[in-house]
Amino acid sequence: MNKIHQQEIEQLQTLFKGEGIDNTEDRIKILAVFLGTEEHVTDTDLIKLLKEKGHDFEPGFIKDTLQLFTRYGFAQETTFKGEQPRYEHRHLGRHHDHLICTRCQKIIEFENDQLEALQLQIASRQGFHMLQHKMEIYGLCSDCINTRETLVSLASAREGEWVKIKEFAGGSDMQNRLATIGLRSGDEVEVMTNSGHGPLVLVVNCSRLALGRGIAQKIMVIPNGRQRDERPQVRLSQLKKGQKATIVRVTGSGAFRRRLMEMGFLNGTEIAVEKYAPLRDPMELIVKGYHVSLRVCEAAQVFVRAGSK
Amino acid sequence: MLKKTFTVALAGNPNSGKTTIFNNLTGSRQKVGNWPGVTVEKKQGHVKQNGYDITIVDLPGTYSITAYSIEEIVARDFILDEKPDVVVAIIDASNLERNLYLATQIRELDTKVIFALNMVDVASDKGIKIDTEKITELLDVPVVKMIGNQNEGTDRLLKTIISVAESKKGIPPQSRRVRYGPEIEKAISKLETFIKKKSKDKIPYNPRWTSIKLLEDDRVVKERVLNGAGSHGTAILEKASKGRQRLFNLFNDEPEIVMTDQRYGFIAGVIREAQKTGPENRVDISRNIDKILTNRIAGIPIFIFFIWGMFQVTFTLGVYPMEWIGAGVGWVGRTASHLISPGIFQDLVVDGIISGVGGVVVFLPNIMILFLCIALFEDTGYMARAAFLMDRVMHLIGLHGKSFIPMLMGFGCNVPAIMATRTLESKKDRILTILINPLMSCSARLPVYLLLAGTFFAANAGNVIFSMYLLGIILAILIGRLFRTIFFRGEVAPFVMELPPYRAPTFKNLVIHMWDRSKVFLKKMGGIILIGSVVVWFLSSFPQDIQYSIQNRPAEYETEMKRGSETIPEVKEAWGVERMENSYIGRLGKFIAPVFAPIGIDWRGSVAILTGLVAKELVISTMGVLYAAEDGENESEALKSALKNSGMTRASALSFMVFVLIYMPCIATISTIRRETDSWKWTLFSITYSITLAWVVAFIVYQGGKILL
Repeated sequence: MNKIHQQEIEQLQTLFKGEGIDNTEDRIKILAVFLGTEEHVTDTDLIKLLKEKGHDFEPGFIKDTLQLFTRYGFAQETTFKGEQPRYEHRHLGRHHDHLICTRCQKIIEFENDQLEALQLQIASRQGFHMLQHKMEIYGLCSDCINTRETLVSLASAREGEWVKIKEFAGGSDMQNRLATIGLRSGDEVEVMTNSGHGPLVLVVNCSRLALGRGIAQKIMVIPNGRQRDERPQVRLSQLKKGQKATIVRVTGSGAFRRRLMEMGFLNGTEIAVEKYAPLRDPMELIVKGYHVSLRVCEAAQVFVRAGSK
Repeated sequence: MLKKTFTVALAGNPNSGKTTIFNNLTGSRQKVGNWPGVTVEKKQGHVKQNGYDITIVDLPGTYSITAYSIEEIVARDFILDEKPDVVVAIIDASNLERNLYLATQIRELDTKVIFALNMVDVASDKGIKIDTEKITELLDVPVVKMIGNQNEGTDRLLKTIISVAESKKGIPPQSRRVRYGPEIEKAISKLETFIKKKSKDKIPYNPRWTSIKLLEDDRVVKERVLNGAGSHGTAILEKASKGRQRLFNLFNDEPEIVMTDQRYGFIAGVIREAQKTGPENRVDISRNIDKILTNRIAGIPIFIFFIWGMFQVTFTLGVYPMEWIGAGVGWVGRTASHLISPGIFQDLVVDGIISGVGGVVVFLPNIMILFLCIALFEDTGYMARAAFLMDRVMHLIGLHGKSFIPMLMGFGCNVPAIMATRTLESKKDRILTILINPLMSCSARLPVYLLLAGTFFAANAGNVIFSMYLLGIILAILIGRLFRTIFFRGEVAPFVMELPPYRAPTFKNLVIHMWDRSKVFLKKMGGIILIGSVVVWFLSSFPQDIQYSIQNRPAEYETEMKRGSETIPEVKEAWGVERMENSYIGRLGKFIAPVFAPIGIDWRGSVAILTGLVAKELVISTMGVLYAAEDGENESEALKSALKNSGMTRASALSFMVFVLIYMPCIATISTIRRETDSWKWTLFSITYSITLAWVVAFIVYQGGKILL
């Protein structure tokens, strides 16, 4: 690598001198530091880096130099989605592409000959003469995926995901406002619907809550690992004596559903089958600590996940 | 101090001990009636305390105050329209979460509320600790701890009632009401502003509450808004339905369901703050009892045993007091005949009024014993288990498990049986049970079967009688299913029934329970039965100026009659027949005889059937008169041979039995039906359908019998 760097420095020296660019010596010092890092740096990053290495240049001079590097083909300027331009080395005859982590902003370079060949092939099939190209893949890097412990906004949580509320980006005012509707830090929340636009619907303490997307973006959460309940979903009437379950939903006519809900048959409520009547109908259940009977055909309208949590 | 009066309403879940607290407050100073227009029992009582005269109204026990059942509407309307000064929400402390659901709904109404936290002893046995001050703080209501069945806390409750009613504070601010999610709150306040703008004071209820109810699609509130706000009403409803639609799209579910959900969410918050659950420090006795009483194998036999016991006690033990009352009535009748000079007036008093009303008063011991048993079943919590055990069977007819007991009681007497339908919550279930109840062959019909089956089917009498009972049951099932599909279509009330923990009943409650219902029987039955008996008496005693065909020694006879002669029995008997034949009822019998011809019943049978309307026992005695059986030692044997000689066949005997089994119930039962359904329409329907059905089935039996027998 150093050999290449040395080569580049020499090339720059001849090129800049031939062009009559001033302060070539200083600019070479900057190039040496630029080549010394494998990061994709912004101009501010580079200024910082030079200061650390003990060089004391004017920021304007550094920016100007970076522009020159780009113009003469020593650096490549790339602007990733919504960011400041970043600079990287441009080694002649060599091309690489980028994987960009949207969470930690890490950029991973990769080279793939097949991909390059494929790109040329695609271009030529269209009768297109390719001069230059860039390939940027956005996503989460492996580190970020492994340690998703880090905060994400509630707005980016998936449907069916369980998250735990950690903090409110909107300050204490918003925190108080949310507390009155029952959203507190530390609450576990299930994301019921999140279509990517418009309000989200959450389940908090067995009750549903619709939340504007703007507010949701300011609520920082961590996934609590309690993913979608994977226990098989069955009808309440399919349970055997003594079995426990969690209510998923109550179907049927409005009046029936409402009556059951008023009696405490809410989503997420634990329910146990105490026994069946001697003639196998109705059945006796325990909900919220009291005993209640339900006909088997009515219990068939209640969907549960069998087994205790 | 000025004497002040005010009204207090008691509301609460079924099994929350509401009735016990009501009894503790009012003692025996209570009045049982019906809520106007509906068949829901209304209880009202009075307390006098510190110069206050407090009227206490026991609202029907409900789990919620939406508009789904008649009980809920009754309870809600009372609070909204009658505006009681204080509403006491009775809460079962051992089941705080579900009970708070209703209590917070009441809190949402514009009224002064007190929470009475009942059964705190049971709760603490279950390891539940409740911080009442926290509840007061969170919901801004006074909370009183009580143990109803030990009469603890009654005085505290009364004091709180008085202080709340007297306080000038007015209705506590609604700042601590249930808060729904932001989207729903937005919809509520939008609608609220619209209502305030559109209908100034035209809707009598709090606009926020009205908005909530409209978003919940509450049909009663919708109706009232339409009636109250006129043309603006339509606009308001339209606005509400738009709001509903928006919420529906947002939550992908009906707003009322979402709101129920959120109300429970709110309650969960209160519970988290105010309730601490420790380890349970008792064995769940109730569950152990249930292991036996609703056991897969033993459950039903035990139930049958209990029912058998109840039957025995009611109809066997009840016989003795019945005899005493019967003797008493007889004595009154004789005394009256001594006091009143013979003539039409004496006949009216003795044969009409005294024997008519007496015949019904005789049932009083039956009814008292039966209701004592039922009160015992209800107060201990066994009634819910009985329904649990029998629901499968009753569901065949489209009825609730609780209908089983009234149906079974029907075999004894339909009057108490129909009164026992009061234990059914759903009006539809009640009416249906009442309509088919008379098909359960009551004990008064047994003598008819015994006589006819004994006469015509000597060897197979037992089987014939049994098949009569069986026919009644089969018809009840068929008719029940038919009526369910014709009149009570739509949803069968869901069988969501709480199985409350077993509790030891208190003697006071049992007695009050029994006496309340017996009182209703005595008071209300009196009127209709009195009139009915007089009418039938009139029809069978008039006209008086009959030209007897046998003019045997008339002058002598007249004088002998006056002396109470027994010398000319033949003449007396012949005249008896003629008097019956020529009385209005006899003429009526002859007039309708053509209708009875196709079912093999002659005019004498028709008259017997007509007199059976007063009481089915009379069928036999009328037959005795008409078939001119000789008085004597062996009256029944004589009647048997008379019947055999009268041209009655086996087919017509069978047809007669079937007709007696099915045709319209006796006057006592009819008046009970009238009272319990609170509707002449259903009463008349019951009469019409039973007569029609009786004729049709008897026709099939007679025509079929003629071919087969």
